[in-house]
Amino acid sequence: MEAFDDIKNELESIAPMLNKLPRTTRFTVDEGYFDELPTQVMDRIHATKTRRMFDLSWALQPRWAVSLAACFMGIVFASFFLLNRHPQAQQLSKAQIQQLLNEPVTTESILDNIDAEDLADAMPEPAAVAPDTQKQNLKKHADKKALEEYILDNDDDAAIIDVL
Amino acid sequence: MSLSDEEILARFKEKDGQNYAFNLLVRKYQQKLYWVIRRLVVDHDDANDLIQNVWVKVWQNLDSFKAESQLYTWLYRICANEALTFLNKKKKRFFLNLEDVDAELSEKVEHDPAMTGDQIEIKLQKAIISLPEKQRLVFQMRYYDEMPYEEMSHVLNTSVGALKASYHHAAKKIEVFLTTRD
Repeated sequence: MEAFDDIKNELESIAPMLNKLPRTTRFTVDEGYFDELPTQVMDRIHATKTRRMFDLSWALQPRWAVSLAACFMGIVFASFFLLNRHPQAQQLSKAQIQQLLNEPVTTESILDNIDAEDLADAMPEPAAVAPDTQKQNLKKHADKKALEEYILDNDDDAAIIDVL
Repeated sequence: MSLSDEEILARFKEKDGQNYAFNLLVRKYQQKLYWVIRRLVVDHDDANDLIQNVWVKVWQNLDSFKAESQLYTWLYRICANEALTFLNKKKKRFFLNLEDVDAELSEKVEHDPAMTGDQIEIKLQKAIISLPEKQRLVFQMRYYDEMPYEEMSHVLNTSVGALKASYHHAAKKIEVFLTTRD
């Protein structure tokens, strides 16, 4: 174990001026500080214990946060799925049902209740007609309705003028 | 009533003796450890905050302390790490490089009302602050705490040879600072 003299002799050989200075720091503390410090330390320890009991910082850890988020999303989707699986059908009263049965079935009523996409799918594909042939047909027949439809279907002003 | 470290540790392990034993431990080492930190960070409020953090860590880890080193060595290491971490964080938080942090500490040394002493002692403190952090710690451990190199080696996990070289460099730099600067 080194003696204090050894440390002094060491410093004398390296920095003689420094060795002559008193080895005291000139920092000070308030009177009674060290009397109070143990109490402050115990208070902080107890405060730390209490904080740890309610510490949810673990939930912010990436692994836990991702797991919690995934569970939450799963619950949301499951709820959404279950609630929409058996949508509450519109409950019709007996009077409403009777009214529907009594309504005449017309082409318009059928068309009104058919989805436009389904109707389009059911329609036969129009015969592929070359644009030139189409123009010739229009000229030949000069059908006003057909002309209107042609104008609506085409942006080409030149073509329209040509037809006119 | 002054107990040895072994007695304090034994009392701490007893279910009903924790608070009493820990109180004894704090009173035994509080001043030494406080000054270790205070000399590094200069400001009392910072030192006060850090020393309390140190004791909280001691409380939390004292059960797992293995007597492979002296208790004081272990406590000193916690203090040193706490102070160095604080200085590093301070440097990063304010986007200051180390010289700027040192300038701030130097200002505190010069204008701190809790700092007494004549000009040469203020100059000495400024000289110490001008050292790199770890070199400053090595110097203070040897110069103020008169710690043997072997014990310093346990605290800092650095070889005795490296510590000797570091201390010699530090002492020489301070000597030059004292003799050349106004």
